[in-house]
Parts: sequence; C-alpha cells; structure tokens
Amino acid sequence: MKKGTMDNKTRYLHKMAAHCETGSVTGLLNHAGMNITEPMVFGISSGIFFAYLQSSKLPFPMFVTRNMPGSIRKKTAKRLGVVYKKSKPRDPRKASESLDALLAQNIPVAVQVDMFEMDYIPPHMKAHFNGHFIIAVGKEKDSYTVSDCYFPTLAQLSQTSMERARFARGDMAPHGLQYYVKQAPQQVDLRTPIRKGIKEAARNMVKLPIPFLGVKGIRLFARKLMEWPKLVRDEEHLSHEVMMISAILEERGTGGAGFRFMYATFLQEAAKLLNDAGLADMSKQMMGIGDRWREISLHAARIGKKKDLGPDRLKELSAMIMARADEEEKFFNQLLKIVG
Amino acid sequence: MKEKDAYIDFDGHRVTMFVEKEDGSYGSMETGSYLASNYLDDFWQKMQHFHKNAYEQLISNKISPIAFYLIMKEMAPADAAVRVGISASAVKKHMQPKYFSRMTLSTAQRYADVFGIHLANLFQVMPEFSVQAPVKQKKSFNPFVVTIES
Repeated sequence: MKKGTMDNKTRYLHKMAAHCETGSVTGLLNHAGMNITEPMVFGISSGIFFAYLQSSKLPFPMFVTRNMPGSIRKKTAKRLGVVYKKSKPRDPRKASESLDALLAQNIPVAVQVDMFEMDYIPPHMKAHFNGHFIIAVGKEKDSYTVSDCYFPTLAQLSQTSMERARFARGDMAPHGLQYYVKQAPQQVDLRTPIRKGIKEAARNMVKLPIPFLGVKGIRLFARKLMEWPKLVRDEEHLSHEVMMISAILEERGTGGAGFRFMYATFLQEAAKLLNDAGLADMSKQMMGIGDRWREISLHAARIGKKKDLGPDRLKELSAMIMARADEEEKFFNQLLKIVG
Repeated sequence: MKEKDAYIDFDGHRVTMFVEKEDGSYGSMETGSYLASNYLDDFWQKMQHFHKNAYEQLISNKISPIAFYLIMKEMAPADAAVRVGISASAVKKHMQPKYFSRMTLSTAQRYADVFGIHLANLFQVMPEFSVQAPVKQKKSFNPFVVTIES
C-alpha cells in the first residue's frame, strides 16, 4: 500500500493518485471499507477513451484520453452497487452549509471544482478546468482541509476559493456538485463489472460512428495536427501547443501515456481475478502501446523546445499518432473478442 | 514503462505514474514530473514571450486589457463569456479598447474574478512577466480597492 497522510477527524487517508476522479472515488470507496484499486475503478468505469475536440469555447484544439468527468462515479454506482448521496445546492451559501454539516459529522465529501481556484497548486498548473475533483475532509474557521490526488499532502483551501471553485461557470460547470458514499458493499464479485467495463470501453474506442471519438478521433488528431501552423499566432505559440501534447498525455492526471499505463495495470489485475491468459497478454500489449504513446510525448516535447516544427517534423509526429490509431484499433477489436 | 525509467528526482511537481515493476507486475509510483523538471524554464520563457507581445499591443492601444488577459490565461472569448455571464459578442467587443471603456465596473470585476486578478490590475500591467507578483497587493473590505504593500 502506498504511504499517505491521515486526516485525524474523518480518518480519511490522503494518497496521491494518477487521476483526480478515479483517485477521489477510490479514496472514498477505500474509506467506506471497500478494497479496490484506482486502476480497477478506472477499468470498471470504462475510463479509457480518446476524443479530439475543437470548439469556439476552446482557445486551441485539444484532445482527451478518458471518458466524461462524472462518469466514474456513475459507473461505479451502477456496476459495483455503490450508493452515493449526491447533491447540487443552487446557492453557494447553502452549498457551504451543506458541506460543513457533513464535515461536522466526519464524513469526507467529494466536490467538483474549477482547478484554477485551488490555492495550493503550482503556478504552471493554474488553468480553468471545471472537471476537477477533490475530497473535503475537514474545516477549521474559514479554511477547508482537502485531499487533492495531485498534491502530495492534505492541503488548505479558503472558503472563498472553495465557493468560487464550486460555482465557476463555463463548460462542465460544477453547479455545486458534492457527493459522498452512503453505502458500499464490502465484498463484490468483480468479474461481471470487469467484463462490462472492458466491453463498453472497447466499443467506445472502435464502434462509435462519430469522427472525432475513439480510434477515429486519434486519426482525426493525426490529420489535424498538420493544420496547426495555420491556427497559431507565431512559432512560439505553435511550440507551446505541440508541447501541450506531452503535458496532456503525461502530466494531466493520466498515470502516463494518456491513461494507457493505468489501463494495462487494470487488465493485469483483471487477468488475475478472471484467471484469463488472454487478458494477461492484452495487458502486456497495452503497456507496449503506452510506451509508444510516451515516445510521442517525448518527441513532441523535444521538437517543441527546439522549435523544430517544420512540415517534415509535424508529418513525423502525425505518422506516429496515426500508427497508434492502427495499433489501438487492432487492440480493442481483439479485446472485444476476448470479453465476448 | 519500467519503474527505473520513470523515476525523476524533482519535488516541485509530483505525479503518480503506472509502471512495470522489477517482478513484472504493474503498479503505481510517485515521481517528479518529467515535463516540469525538464521544460519548466522553457514554459516560463514562452509565457514571457506571450506577455511581451501582448503587452506591446496593449500599451499601443491595439488591444484592451481583456484581450491581454485572454492571451495570458489561454482562454477563448466564448469560454470567458460563459464564466463572466455575458454574451460572446460582448467579450469580443470588450477586447477592443474603444468598447472596453464602456464596460460597467461590475462587469470588469467579474472579468477580474475569472482571470484571478485584482480589479486594479485590469488598469495597470507590469512590463515584465513575473511568476511571483513583484509588488504585494492585499484585498481590502472595499471590493474595488487593493492596498499595496512595500
């Protein structure tokens, strides 16, 4: 078990995790007595995904490598039989009162927040992102003690920042969402949830008929990358956006290689539980795919820093991404066959 | 990825990675951020460059402070519009100096909140980009006034 820091009142054990939502759901389930790991929560919730996004609400095209924020809680509720008590108080004052009342009963509560308002994160990580999750574990005077999976220790967050973070507007606005585990089964047969989780994830990757989602989304990303020079202000801006590929794949709470390493870990755990040699082999394959995604990250960071971003270099990067699409298409089709 | 290849000795930004352990099992490890340890200087250099370009446009009255902060905070006008609670076309207007002056103080305050700055900083900008604020500004009970500490 990884080391962590314990909140004395709620006895909530804070641990760093790869991703904020899987980490906070795992933390809450562990606190409720359920023995489950972050990769297992991720896999059962069909977390692995890919989408290439371009919209007027984004300053620049971007991609995501996991499913929608909020779906981890919903899928664990459905597939593991966990009962969450969820609420979305409309008024910030009532939201704080409701949160404080739960904390007074020593109940750790997950809250959806805008990451920009987290007082404790390093300045280079400060960006508006409404799909961040933290666990509030205590409150003293005007400051909350929170467990944020991206931060090594329990952190302090002012009441003002918490209110602003919970009621930030924009895409995926949190609307004050808070939830806690009301009931979690102590013993669960994970075999069916694992199969369901794999099946849905594989279908999402290869069967969705939408051009920017799943494997089709990876291909679109590879093609659109060649158009990026037309979308930037100058060379420095292009360099920044190319280096962001690396940040999104490695540093934004993915556990490395855009969640592919975490998914390989899930498949290895699943193979053991299901005693399935096929899944064990798929787990190794996924680790290899992750290694090659990481090569993309390192390449993007290197050429970005050197500003070596001519058409040939972008073509090279695009070809590497396209190759991942082919590899993942084969992989997820094979995975679908294994889980039937 | 092998555990030994993932280890980065850097405390400024810690991350959790999933790796292959020596015994062949996969699991998590805490390590320093590869990007932050290798490329943070480059990131801040770029921010300086963005700041310099945007600053020059701002002081020559080609763009408004709203446009300046949208560049620095990497925000799209449509996203800022929803966060501030106004239309996207209004934000596009506010990005131009002539319309900026017609904005109400309360709208300016809402912009400042979204940018995470004091309202006063919509009207004053440092020529050089700095991660740490070069002067200490402290909120007062008056929402429109900050005190400056030497």
